[in-house]
Amino acid sequence: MHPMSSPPNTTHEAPALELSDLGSCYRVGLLQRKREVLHGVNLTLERGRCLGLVGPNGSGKSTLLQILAGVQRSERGVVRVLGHDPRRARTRARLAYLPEDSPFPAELSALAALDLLGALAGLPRKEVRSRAERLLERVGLSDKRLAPLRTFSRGMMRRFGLAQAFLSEPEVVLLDEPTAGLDAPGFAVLEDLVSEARHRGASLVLASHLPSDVLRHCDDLALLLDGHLRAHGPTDELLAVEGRVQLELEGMGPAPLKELEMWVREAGGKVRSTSPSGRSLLELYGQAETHA
Amino acid sequence: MPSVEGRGRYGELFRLWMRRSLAPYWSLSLLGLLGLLSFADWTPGALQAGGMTTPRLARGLERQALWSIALLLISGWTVWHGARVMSRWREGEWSWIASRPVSSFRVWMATWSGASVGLGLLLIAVGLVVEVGAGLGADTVRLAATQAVDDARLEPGETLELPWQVGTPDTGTVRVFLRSSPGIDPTTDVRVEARRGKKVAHTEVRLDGRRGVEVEVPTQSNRPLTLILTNTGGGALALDGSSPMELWRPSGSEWLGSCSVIWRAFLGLSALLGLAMGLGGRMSAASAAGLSGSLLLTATTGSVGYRLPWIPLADLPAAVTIVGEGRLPMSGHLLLPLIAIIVGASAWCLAGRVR
Repeated sequence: MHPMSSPPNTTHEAPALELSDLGSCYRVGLLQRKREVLHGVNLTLERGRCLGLVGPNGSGKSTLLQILAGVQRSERGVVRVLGHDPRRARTRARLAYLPEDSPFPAELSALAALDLLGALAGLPRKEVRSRAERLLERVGLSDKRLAPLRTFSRGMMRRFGLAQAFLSEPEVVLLDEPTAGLDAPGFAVLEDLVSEARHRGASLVLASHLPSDVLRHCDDLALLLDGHLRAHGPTDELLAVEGRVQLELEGMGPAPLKELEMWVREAGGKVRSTSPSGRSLLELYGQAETHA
Repeated sequence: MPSVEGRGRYGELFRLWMRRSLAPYWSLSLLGLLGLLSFADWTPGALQAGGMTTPRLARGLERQALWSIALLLISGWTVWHGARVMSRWREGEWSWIASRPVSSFRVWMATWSGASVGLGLLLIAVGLVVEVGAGLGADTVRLAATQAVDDARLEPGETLELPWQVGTPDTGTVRVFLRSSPGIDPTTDVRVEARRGKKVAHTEVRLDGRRGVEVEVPTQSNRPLTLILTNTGGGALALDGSSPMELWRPSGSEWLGSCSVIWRAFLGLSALLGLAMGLGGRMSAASAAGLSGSLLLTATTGSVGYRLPWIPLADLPAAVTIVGEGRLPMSGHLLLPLIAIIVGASAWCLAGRVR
C-alpha cells in the first residue's frame, strides 16, 4: 500500500471508513498477470451509519470488504477503518467480518467454533462462552450448539456466521452477502442484530448483489460496477424518482381500489403496478405453529 | 504474510490443528490396520527354517514391520496434511483468521505446533499398538558409537588392524560388517579379535555372503582398543565400508526402541510438515505434497542418515532397522529438535502471502 501525500484524519472522530484511490488486483495464470478488481475507489462512511454496497456478481464487493477487514492487501491507495490501517491488529479488534461463504471449521461444534473465534479476537474465555451461548440463543441455534458445523444446513450456517460476526460487539461490522442462503428465521435474526448494532452506534457495511435485501437498513448506498464506484450517496437520494411513491394498502376491495386508480389518473398521476401484498414467510410459520 | 502485532489467544487454534492431525477416520483406521497386522508372523521363512530366529529377533522383526508400514502411511499423510493447510486458508479459512487481531507468525506457529503435537500423539498411539503386538521384551543393547571404515580386501592368511578411535569403550561389543567375496570358494572363515593391551577377546565365524560379526570388548583395561581381522579361510574376504564399525552397550528394555523411533519420527515429520505448509503457500497442495515427498525420499535413502544424522528423518530408516534386530538405536542427534523447530518456524517465510 503506498502512503498518501496527505494522510486522512486519524483522530477519535475519524470516519468509520475512509477509502482513497483504492486499487486492487489479482495475479492470474502461469505468468502471474495482473487482473484489476478495484479501480481508484473513493468512499467515506461516517460513524454510526449503515452503507449498502451493491453491484452485480464480480463487481469487487467481496474484495473491497476483505481489504476493509484486513484479510487482503490493497495494491494502491489508502484504507482507513476508524482512522487506522485495518492491517493493524488493534484496528481489527474493533471490527467484525462475515465472509461471503461460510468457511468455518466444519468439524467443530457451534460452541467450540465460537470459542475459537472469540479466542482469536482476544476475548477472555469466560466472556466468550457467555456471549456465545447468548448469541446462539438469539440466532436460534442453541439446541444445535454442540452439533458439528458440518451438519448445519446453509441457512443455519449463515445464522452461525452472523453470530460470530457479532461476538465481540464490534464498532464496524462488515457483512458480505448477509442474506445469501439465509432462511426465513435468519432474516429476522439479521434484522435484530443489525438493529441492535445500529442502536449502540456501530457502523455497518452490507454488501449484496440483491439490493432489495439490504436497502431498508441502509442510510447510504454505494454502487460498484466492474470495480468502479459508479454512485455513492444517501439511499433516499440515490433511489428517489421525482413524484414516484410506493403505497401499501390494507382493507381495500377491488371497487375502492378502482376508484383510487381513477382519482390518481385524474390528478395527472399514473399507477405503475398493483399486486396483492402477501404475508411474510415468518407470519406463515407463526400461523402454522398456532394451528399445530 | 506480513507480521502484525497480535492480541488474540492461540490455544484454540492449536487445539483445532491438533484435532485435525488426529482425525478419527484416519487415526482409527491406521491403528486398526496395525492392530490386525500385529497378529501376523513377520519372521521370514528362511530364518525360521535355518533355526536362526530368537524370541528377541522375532519381536524386533514385528516392530520393524509394523513401524515401517505405519511410518510409510504417516509420512504420506503428513506431506498431504501440511500441503493442504495453505489451500484451506486460501479457500476461505484465512478470512476468519486474518480478520481477527492476530499475528500471522503466531497463527503459523499455533497451526504448525498444533498439527505437530497431534502427529506426536498419533505416533505414541502407534507405538502402543506396536508394543502390545510385539510384547514389551527383555533387556537389550543400545548402539553407543560408530566409526567409519574404508573398504578393504583380505586374501587368505592376510590380517587387518582397525584401531577404535571414538572414545575408550569400557564394556559392550564391537560389530564390524564383513563379506565373503564371490569366487571359486564363496565362503571363508574369519577370526575377529578385540585387543586392549594384553587383554584379548575373539570370535571366529564362517562367512557366506555379508554379515555383521561381533566381538566382546575386553574389560578392566584403559588401553586403546584394536580390532584385528584375519582371513583364516580359503576364499577372499572384504571389509564393507558402507557400514561403520559399531559399539553396542547393554541398555534398557526392547520397548525403548519404539520410543526412539517415535522421537525421531516426531521431530522429522514435524519439520516435514512445516516445510510442506510453507511450500503450499507458493504452489498448489498437490505440487507442494509432491515436492515435500521427494525431499523426504532424498533424506531417507542412501547414506544421508549415516553421514548427516542431524538432518531430520535421515537416520530414521537405520533406527527402524536396528529396532528390527531387537536392539536400540543410538540417541538422536542433539541438534535434531533445534533443526526441526528452525525448519518449521522458518517455513513461515517460505509461505509468503496467502493471497
